[in-house]
Amino acid sequence: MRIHVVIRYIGMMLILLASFMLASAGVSILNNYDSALYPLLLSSFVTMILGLFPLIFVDSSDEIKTKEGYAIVVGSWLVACIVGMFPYLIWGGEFTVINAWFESVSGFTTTGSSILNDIEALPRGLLFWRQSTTWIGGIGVVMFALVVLPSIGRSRQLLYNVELSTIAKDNFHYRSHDIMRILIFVYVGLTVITTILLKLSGMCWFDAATHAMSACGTSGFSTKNSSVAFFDNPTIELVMMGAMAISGIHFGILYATITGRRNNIFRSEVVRAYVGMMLIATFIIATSLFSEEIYSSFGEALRHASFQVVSLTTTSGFATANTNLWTPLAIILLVFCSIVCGCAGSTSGGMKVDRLLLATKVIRNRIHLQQHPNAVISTKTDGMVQGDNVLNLVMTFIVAYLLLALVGAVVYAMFGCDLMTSFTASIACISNVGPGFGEIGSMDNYSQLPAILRLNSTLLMLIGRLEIFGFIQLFFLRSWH
Amino acid sequence: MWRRIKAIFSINGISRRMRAAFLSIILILIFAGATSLLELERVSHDTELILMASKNNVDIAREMASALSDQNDAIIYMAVVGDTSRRFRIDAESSIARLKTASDEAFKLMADTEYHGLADSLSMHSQNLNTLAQDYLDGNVHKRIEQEKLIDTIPNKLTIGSWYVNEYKAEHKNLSKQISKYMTGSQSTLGPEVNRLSHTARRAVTPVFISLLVMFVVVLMLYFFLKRLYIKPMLRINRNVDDYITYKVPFDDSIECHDEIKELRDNISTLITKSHK
Repeated sequence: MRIHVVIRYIGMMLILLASFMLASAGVSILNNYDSALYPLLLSSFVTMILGLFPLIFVDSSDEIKTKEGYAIVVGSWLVACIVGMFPYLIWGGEFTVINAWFESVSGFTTTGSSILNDIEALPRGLLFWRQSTTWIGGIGVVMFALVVLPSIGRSRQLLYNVELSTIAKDNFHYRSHDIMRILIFVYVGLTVITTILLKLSGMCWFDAATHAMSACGTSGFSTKNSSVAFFDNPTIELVMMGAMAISGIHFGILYATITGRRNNIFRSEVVRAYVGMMLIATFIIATSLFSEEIYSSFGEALRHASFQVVSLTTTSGFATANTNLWTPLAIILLVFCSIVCGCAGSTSGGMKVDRLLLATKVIRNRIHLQQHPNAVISTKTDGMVQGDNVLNLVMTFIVAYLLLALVGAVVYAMFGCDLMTSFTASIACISNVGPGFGEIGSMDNYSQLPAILRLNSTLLMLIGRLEIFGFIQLFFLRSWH
Repeated sequence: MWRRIKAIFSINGISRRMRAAFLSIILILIFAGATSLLELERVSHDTELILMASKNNVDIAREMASALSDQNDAIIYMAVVGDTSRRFRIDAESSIARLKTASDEAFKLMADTEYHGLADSLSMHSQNLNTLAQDYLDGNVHKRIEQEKLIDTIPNKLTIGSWYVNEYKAEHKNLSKQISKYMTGSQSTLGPEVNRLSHTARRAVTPVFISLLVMFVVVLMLYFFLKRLYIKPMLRINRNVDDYITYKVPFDDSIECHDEIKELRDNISTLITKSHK
């Protein structure tokens, strides 16, 4: 493996991060030179040097191998998380080394969980950087670099293949060169529209932009201590729900819908399953909350249930209510939504509806095959036959995901967390949802967990964001031929 | 457009690359140095502020204690010993003014802090003591003694000694206590400044630490790139030339190398080809 080539591409990603730090410093200047200006400028400078240095020695390479591609993607995520700590560390406050690492990983992996007890104490420049990490992380650190940096040339295809979820590639009916443009077009467009709508709903420009970035990145980072509940505004909640729900759909399908192509959201089986799951969960939870008299009217129960379902299914994690106080049925359904999550090819994490849909079809076919041993049955999604390789990958991923969730929960329990906290924290971190239940409920944060568990959470977030196998490959690069 | 930008910033040749690399390292070094200087300046400024505030508090407490002692001495000489010379009167009057100024200053410093209760009681007791001393100087105490002498029904009549012990000395004691409380309390009011100093100190260390870390990584990268891109290919070319000279093993012209080393490889290859011809 040509490590110098890997370092070069990671360096290019660092230049991109440095420019976002500079933009955040600009926000600091706009806000009367707030206390984040100095940390952001310093961080931007050192990140820029780190990113530029490899470019001095390594010229652009047109061909990179798959193994190098994996190293670039995983390395970029890790390095982005490390460099993302710099502004937090220099600013100080609640940010110790572990806390800064947690916040950075949580941002880039779009988990959106926090260790901050007073988010509103952060200067606007730093808040903007925090939201930027989620926005960059939402589309994928490397994907962002692929679009923004033109010199990558022919290496694009390989890097995109590695970065994008295996299952997401099938739904893109475009040339690989166009895919990145489509992703950015949809992502930036959605963020801009959401910002304008949030502004019209009553937020200030800063809150509107930062919440739009977070909603479109399905992260859940808010600039307020009590998240979206702070605004107590149904219109804002509706706009946020719309942005989150759309961001949870495959971007290729969204583009097809906008451009009037055939494979649009109305024809997609996966989108139907995704929307159907959210509607059913919302209705059952709202009914449960209303019947248990947690909310006085069905309308109010529906308002909070729908927001929480969309927020957790899309792995955003914004909150408008304390879900810890909800009924066991509501909690179980929300945990289910946190496991399944949005569609492949979107900014959401988790197992993905596509995989669940395929898994249920495999189970159905298996039952059918037992009844009719000679039958030839194929598994299809959106009319396309899925090969054994894809089905094997799906089933392996689901098993690996559940095993990892179990191991994660055991680690939480080992360090004194209760059953509810252990299980939901593990799920929330692997799926990059953010809030769980128990000690890490929608109105709490991870600050009360011991340092070792905060580190464990970040590990789970990274493994979840890199879709388990992507992360594991990193440790077997030497034996990979 | 991109090609143009690329052409401007492209670095070719070992010499240029080395220059750029060392410039980067120097830049980080200057940056780390400048940052630490700036931060040290800030720490030193904050430390100076705290020390000045602390010194100011000590000065005020010392002034109050000194004025209190001077006033007490003057009152003792005048009231208890009976020395009515003008010197003691002047001492008493000046100590009243000094006590008032010092307690007002202490009040100003502590009024906006969580120790404002202490400032209130310090101000009240100093005012009480000053009123007692002023009453004595104005002759009001003697007037009270004369008045009480005329009234038969009062059992314990006021004397100058009893006034001193029961009224003046008691208030003197209260104020002394308040001054000693002020001496400890005023240091506690520096808490926020001390916290700020610790924050500044941390901020002073972190950027320097990060810059040094980045420099370490950059130096590691430099070592890696030099070894991988220049030293290793050079050693391989050398070995290949050796092999060619000794064993007539064909020269491998596919060795991966860059810049002048690539030229060297190609030149050797051409030389060997020409020598064959």
